[in-house]
Amino acid sequence: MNELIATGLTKRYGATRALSGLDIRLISGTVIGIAGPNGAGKSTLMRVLSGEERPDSGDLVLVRDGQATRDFKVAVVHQEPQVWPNLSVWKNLEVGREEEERASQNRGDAETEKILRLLSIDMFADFELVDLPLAVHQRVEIARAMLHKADVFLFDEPNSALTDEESKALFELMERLAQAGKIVILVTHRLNDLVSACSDVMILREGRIVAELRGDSALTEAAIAAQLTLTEHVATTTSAVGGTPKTPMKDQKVLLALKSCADAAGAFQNVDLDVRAGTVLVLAGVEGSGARELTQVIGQFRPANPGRTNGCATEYIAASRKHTVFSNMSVAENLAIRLGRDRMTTAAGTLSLAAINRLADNSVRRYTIKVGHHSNPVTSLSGGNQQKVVLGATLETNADIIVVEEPTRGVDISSKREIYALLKSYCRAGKAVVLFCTEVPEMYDVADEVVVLSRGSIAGRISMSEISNVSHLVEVIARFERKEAHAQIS
Amino acid sequence: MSSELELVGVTAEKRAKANWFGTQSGLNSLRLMGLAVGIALIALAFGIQKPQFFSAANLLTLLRSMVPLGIIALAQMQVILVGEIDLSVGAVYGLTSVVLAAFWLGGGGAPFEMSLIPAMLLALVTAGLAGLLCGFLVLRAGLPSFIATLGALNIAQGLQLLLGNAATFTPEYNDPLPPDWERSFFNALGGLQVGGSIPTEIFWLFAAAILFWIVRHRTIFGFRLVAIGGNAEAAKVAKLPIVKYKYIVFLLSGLAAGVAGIVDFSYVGSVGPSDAGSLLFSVIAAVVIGGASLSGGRGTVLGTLLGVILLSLLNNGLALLGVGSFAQLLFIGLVTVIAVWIDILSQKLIRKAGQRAAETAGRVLK
Repeated sequence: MNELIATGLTKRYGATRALSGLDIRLISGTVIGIAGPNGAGKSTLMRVLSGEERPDSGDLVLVRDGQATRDFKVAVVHQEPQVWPNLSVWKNLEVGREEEERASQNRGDAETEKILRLLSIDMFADFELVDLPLAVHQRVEIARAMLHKADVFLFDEPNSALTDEESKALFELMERLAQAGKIVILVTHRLNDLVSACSDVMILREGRIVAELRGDSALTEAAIAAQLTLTEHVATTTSAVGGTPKTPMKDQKVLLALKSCADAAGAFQNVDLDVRAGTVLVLAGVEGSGARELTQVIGQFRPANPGRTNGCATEYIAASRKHTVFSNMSVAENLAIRLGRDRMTTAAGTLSLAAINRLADNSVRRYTIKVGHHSNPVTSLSGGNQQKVVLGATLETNADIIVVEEPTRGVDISSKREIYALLKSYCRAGKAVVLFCTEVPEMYDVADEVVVLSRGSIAGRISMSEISNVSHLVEVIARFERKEAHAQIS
Repeated sequence: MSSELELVGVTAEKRAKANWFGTQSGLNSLRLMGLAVGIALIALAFGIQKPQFFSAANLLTLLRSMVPLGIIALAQMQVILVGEIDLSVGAVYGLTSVVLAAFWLGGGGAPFEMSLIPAMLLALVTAGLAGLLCGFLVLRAGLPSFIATLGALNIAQGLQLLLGNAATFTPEYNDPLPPDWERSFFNALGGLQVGGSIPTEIFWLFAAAILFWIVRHRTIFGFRLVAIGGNAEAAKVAKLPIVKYKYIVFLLSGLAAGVAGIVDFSYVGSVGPSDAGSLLFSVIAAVVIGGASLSGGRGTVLGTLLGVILLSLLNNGLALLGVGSFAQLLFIGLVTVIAVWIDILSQKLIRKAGQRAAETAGRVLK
């Protein structure tokens, strides 16, 4: 039995503490899950465990066969496997071991073959990865880790793009690795996966392990959800956001109606959806469900059949700030970049710097952007404030429909609250907001209606007036996703 | 107590702002000023060595020598600003003047002749088409602009040689001689000397500088070019007209090369089969010395003009000192590399100052 012991791990980024004195004891034998809300320090913990980053303080020790060592190998199996698509499975496994291969051609081959057979990908050995499915890529990554004799296997959202059968097989494989004395860690957002794959789930919050759920009675989806939503739930009840008196949704004007709409690349089919004025519509669904793609289609950022012919003005914000922030420009310029001629030009038709300055002044105040002066480069702002700049630039266009993917990714709690308030108040002016969210508490905070997608079609529609609390919403969404999965299998 | 805290906060905030203007934007203009000071020092050194450097005649020669380089570099700055590059400009410059010459004067590989105005229009259309071809290859066919414009460079050069047919065209001594009005009109474009000894070609540089300054710094078009070059993906998300704008940028680049070719032909009075020279390298060097980034998102008209001045100054001064053209090349290469190096260092300083100011602001405003 092997053990990975971390004591007092601390990691700071500027003023924020990603990890604050984290203690954890991970024992081989079973798959261990790690769950936590966004910003809890999950990705930092992963980077520290995998050795990508050094903690500011704290210790990380592996006890292997009763002997403690700091010299051990960690393999990370990523959401998107890091492999060479232009090489065959064989060649992929040879990279980095070329010397070894040449020295003992046969032994290496035999060992590789054994591992390939163990992972049941031996029949693909001569194929180039570019032609093989993602599940095989993942197994190649696992095989590489096994060949390198890794002690710790970190699975980072490994099955987000796998089919049900593929993820089941992956979980079985993980279990086998754990039983073979490896320390196997699963990090995922999907609660049902944590329950089915792990027998032990640690909850990470504010850079520390705050709870451990173990055993069939303690380890349930509801229990994990309750743990995850604890902090954010508090944020909701204290926020000024909630409780908008609403006219019934059916009475609101339909701004955009999709009729049996299909994604041009096949991510979803046969979707009927109305986008109504005055509502925040949230599209929910795991990666591969089509929810993200549908969001992009509504945002006119992705082609669909039939195409979006409706003429109402639509603005779209991508999920990653790398794709929304112009880092070579100032805050003011970022705020103005989406605007048209009518808002920025003088009578003579030239660009009016005064108009841009005025606009930036107003926007900085209206969207509570924390910045010394709006001529500062946008990169000098925190993530939350950069997001407010992007959002502000979009809201200033006064478009009929605002479409945002993951509106608060990497944003601190207080900015989150402000962003929700901005989106909600925008809706009140007869506009519509369409969001793609991955966090259920966020949906709870901001949505008027949640549409759940699963496997490329709408699995359910939830009116938020019928939802009593976050756990209730978690349950309903999970029910819709499961129902759809069963329908597919039968 | 609380008022005291507030007071501290306010002063700190003010300090953050003051610090900001004292450093980041300050350093930005300081960088240009540094370039200007460098130019002044080099000019002074030339002047001390050779007093006739500062003579009116030489300064006019210097200014005149900047015209084709300046016009083309200003357009190239926009190409580089959006993250592309146009290597065809030197060849298009040469092709345009040969198209004009061959169709106007005859005697080359042109299938027929025409009078001056249609020939000039044809030459400009050729230059514009060259720009659009580059745009098409980059934006429609998806070639990297380096390759697409390298191809266009060779095409333009080949056309120039075919059309020129190894002839040298001189309107004043052509047989048959073009009508008087055509010759005087053509001469007025660049060669005519006004107010004593100022060639009209110089005014084209001023016109181009003003035009490009307005386009780059006072139009939505120029504003959006910065965004497109700074982050193409974000520009797509914000639905900026990327393709259209890049087409315009390539078109302007071709046209600028064409205009430069025509007015230079007028000034020189003749054009030969291979008059494209090493213009391309100077153009790119000038733009980069002027602080533009080859990865896009950075580039100003003033900086580019300073780059043009520095290069032309070196050419002129070194020739005046009697430095051979081989050694001149060496000097110009060194200065280019050093100028860009200094630019990179100052960029780092600017970024650091910005981060410091942001940290202060973050602390104060929290």
